[in-house]
Amino acid sequence: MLAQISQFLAVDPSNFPKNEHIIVGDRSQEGGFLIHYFLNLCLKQKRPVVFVGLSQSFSHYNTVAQKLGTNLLLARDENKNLIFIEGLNLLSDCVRLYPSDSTESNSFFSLLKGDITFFLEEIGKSISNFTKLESPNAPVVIVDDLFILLRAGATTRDIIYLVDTLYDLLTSGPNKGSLILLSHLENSDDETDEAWAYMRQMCSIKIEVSDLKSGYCKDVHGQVCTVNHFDQ
Amino acid sequence: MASNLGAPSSFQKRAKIKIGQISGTRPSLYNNQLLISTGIPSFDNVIGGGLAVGTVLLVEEDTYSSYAKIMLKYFIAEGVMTGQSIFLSSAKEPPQQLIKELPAPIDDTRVHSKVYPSKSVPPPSTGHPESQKSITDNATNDNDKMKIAWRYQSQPKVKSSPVSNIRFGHYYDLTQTMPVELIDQVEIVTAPSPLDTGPLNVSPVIPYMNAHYCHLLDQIRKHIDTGCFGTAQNTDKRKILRICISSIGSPLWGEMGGVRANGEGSDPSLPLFFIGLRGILRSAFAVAMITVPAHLFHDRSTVKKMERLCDTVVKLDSFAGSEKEKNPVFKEYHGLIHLVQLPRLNSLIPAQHETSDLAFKLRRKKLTIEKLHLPPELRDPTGGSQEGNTLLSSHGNNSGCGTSQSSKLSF
Repeated sequence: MLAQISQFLAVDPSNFPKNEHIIVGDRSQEGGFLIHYFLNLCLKQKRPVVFVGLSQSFSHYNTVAQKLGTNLLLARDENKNLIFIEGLNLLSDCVRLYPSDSTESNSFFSLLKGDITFFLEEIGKSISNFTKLESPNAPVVIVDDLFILLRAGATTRDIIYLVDTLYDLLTSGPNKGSLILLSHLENSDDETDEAWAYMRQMCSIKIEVSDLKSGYCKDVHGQVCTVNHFDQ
Repeated sequence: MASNLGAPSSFQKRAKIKIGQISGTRPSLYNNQLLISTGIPSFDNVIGGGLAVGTVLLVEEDTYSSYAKIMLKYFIAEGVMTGQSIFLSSAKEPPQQLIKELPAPIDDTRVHSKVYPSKSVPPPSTGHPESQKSITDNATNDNDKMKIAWRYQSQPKVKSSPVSNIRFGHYYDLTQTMPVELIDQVEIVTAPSPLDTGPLNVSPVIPYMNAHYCHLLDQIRKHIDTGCFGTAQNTDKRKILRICISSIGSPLWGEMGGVRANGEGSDPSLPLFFIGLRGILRSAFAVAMITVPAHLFHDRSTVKKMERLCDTVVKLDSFAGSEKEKNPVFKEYHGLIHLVQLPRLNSLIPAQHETSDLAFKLRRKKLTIEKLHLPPELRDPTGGSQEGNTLLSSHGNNSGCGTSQSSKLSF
């Protein structure tokens, strides 16, 4: 399956993503497979990866990765080329009536209040840790469902600023890194449409996954449409 | 069983796989997740065997929320029958009322031998120990007769299911209520409703969040912590916690139909509540069933947002008060049930459902969910059968089983 996706995207699986800004828009419920594909691809090339898991817990990604032939646990704890940010837990920890001990140090807490600098610092720190590893490969940042932040109350402006700064952060280093963002899109939702429109114009590869227009089918789950901006 | 049949053979399995140690659970056949039953076996079937532990089931209520309430009662009743813990929160009606109205379990010898551990409650069916004994006698007699190969002697005759010792899913009778003795055996915690607590004068950590939701989440956290339901906590008697929340998002919770209090923009409180809940449940032996009056949200996108943040989402669409009630096509059923979303757990894609045409039916004693079948067309197809066809096409059901109106060809 993974080879087929590479073929479909017309990329070389041994040297991809290279200084790319990839956005995946999911209009169905099944676009998540692309995130697993990219994660698998990057880890097989021994890229340093920062993964922000906002929609699922680590164990989910780990189980799927094992089925696809990579071991996230090994990559995270021993090889140290994967930094997994448990976004779901951290976000969930913000939702409480009385602040707990960890609230102040939680970067998502300030993010939801409109201050994204702590979050960016955290990712920036992770990336600079990778450079200490003296890995020759370019770092990759993957966010599984960026728009969960939007649903949690972050403003569109913050999200756009976040995407912009993240990309700058990745490309400013000596190794030009890549940014991969998955976002769930809803039809007729102004906030997501606005953010998506902006992301669409600054990305290098846009992939959209949607259901079949003809309705539910057991054998064919949906369609994938991809646009490459080669000129960037 | 193997031990009383003589010396252990070298062909025995090394380790016994301990499946179903936790009461009322079984592993999924798709992704090896631990499942619990919703209390409605036909509903378990359509959502892939049951609800995975650590997930959230969102039920979008029908207009009068009567069927959603029945489903919630089934869910609680199943928790009572399997001895699980229950955390209940309800704003519209007092939780005690819900508990009183639980459906009664249908008599079943296996159920009673499990659920009545003390002799204070006599099992209603007399003489079931004898019948059980005779079954085992028969089994041993059969074992003696078996001379096919000695190494199979220690094997049980029929492996009915991997969880033969623990019952998964029960049947209930809606016309009767559950005996109080059964309810008293399990731990039921009720959270004070927003009406009891009144307006909370504390502002939550995230300023734009509804304080009632935060309060509820804090209580769930506390309960998971004190009851040792967390995955990180060690306990000798592992139990599953069922979290049942009825009609969250109704105006009683201070919800303004998905709009912020100042009327500008959408309110992220309820989506945030679901993010919070999902994060809590992922590291707990707990399952949540939440009903939401989705028709009260004036913006459809708010409901969509919530759906994305839950694991299993079903939508009840009752015929009560609608045109479809009188439609002969649907006379067998009381409403449609839409599988909006199935959980994507430890797998690339969600479990695939067979069909999306599902309907529910409330009989006198039980609620069942089944595939929507059209009634047989008994009238002459060339004559006055057009009525049924037009009704079907107006519903957009292009199943192709009705003859088209213009066609005069017969084949």
